[in-house]
Amino acid sequence: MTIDAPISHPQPRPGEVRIGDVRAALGADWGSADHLVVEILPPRGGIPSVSTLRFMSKPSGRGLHVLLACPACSEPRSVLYADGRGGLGCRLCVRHRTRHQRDARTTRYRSHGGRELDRLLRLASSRATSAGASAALTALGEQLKNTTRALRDSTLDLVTAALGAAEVTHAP
Amino acid sequence: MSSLLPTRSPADALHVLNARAVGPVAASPLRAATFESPAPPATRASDARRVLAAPPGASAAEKVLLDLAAEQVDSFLVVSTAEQRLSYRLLEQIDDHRAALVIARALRQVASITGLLAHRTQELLGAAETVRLQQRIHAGGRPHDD
Repeated sequence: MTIDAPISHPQPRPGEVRIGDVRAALGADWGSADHLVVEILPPRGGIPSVSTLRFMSKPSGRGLHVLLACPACSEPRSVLYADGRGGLGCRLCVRHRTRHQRDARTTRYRSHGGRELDRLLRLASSRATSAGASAALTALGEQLKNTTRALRDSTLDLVTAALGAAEVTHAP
Repeated sequence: MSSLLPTRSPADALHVLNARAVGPVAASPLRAATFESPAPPATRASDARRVLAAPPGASAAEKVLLDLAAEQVDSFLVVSTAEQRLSYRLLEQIDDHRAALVIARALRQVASITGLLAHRTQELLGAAETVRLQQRIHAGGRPHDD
């Protein structure tokens, strides 16, 4: 059974497709579909592309899990990523790296709130609704706000110091 | 040539550069008007916070993300105004190499911070949109769907 996703179909995460989102989007058609045509939004902007998702089963415990087949390696995967060339692939095939893997050694991650932003974005997209998750989200938001204010103030101090130093240097 | 340049301004600095390149050039009032420093944005920060207010019915995550995005925009406006001031000062002192070097170094650091804030705003707004779409798509799914 082929199900064509309409253009207005919600794309929850630009640049990636998750099996949980596909199940929610298919609703009652889940289980009867063998593939699905979706529109993929590139993660950093660009031209959307159309791709076909195929489902395949993976043994799990005593039963089977239905997952997405990676178009490149044909292995069952729960998440597929846009490869930047209009196609999809699993994490290994498209060499996808997380923000932590990519930025962990940078100043913006260590000192300018990148670590807190990473945790906050992952928590916000996890749809966790418990009181603890909500409190953690609020606490991370406040922490990131304070970091941003401190960054802004230190930048303004830097500007003031530079202007003062330039005046001293400029004076005959 | 100094009689043509009674005060130091970005236009004067450009005039000096032109004079070095192609010889003496008459000072142009149009050029002076072009490089006047604009007034700092006094009210745009509150406008950004009003525009980025969470819509009614928004989830807690979306509210936090939009609030943070507004904070980033606030800081971006303040820092970018300072960056603009540094840019004009660099243009004013372009003929004084030591002062220009100090300002150029600071300008480079400030530009990286404005870039960081703009990128972070983009990420937060994208995440808020993602949360909204997720909420919509999962509201139409089966109750036990993960």
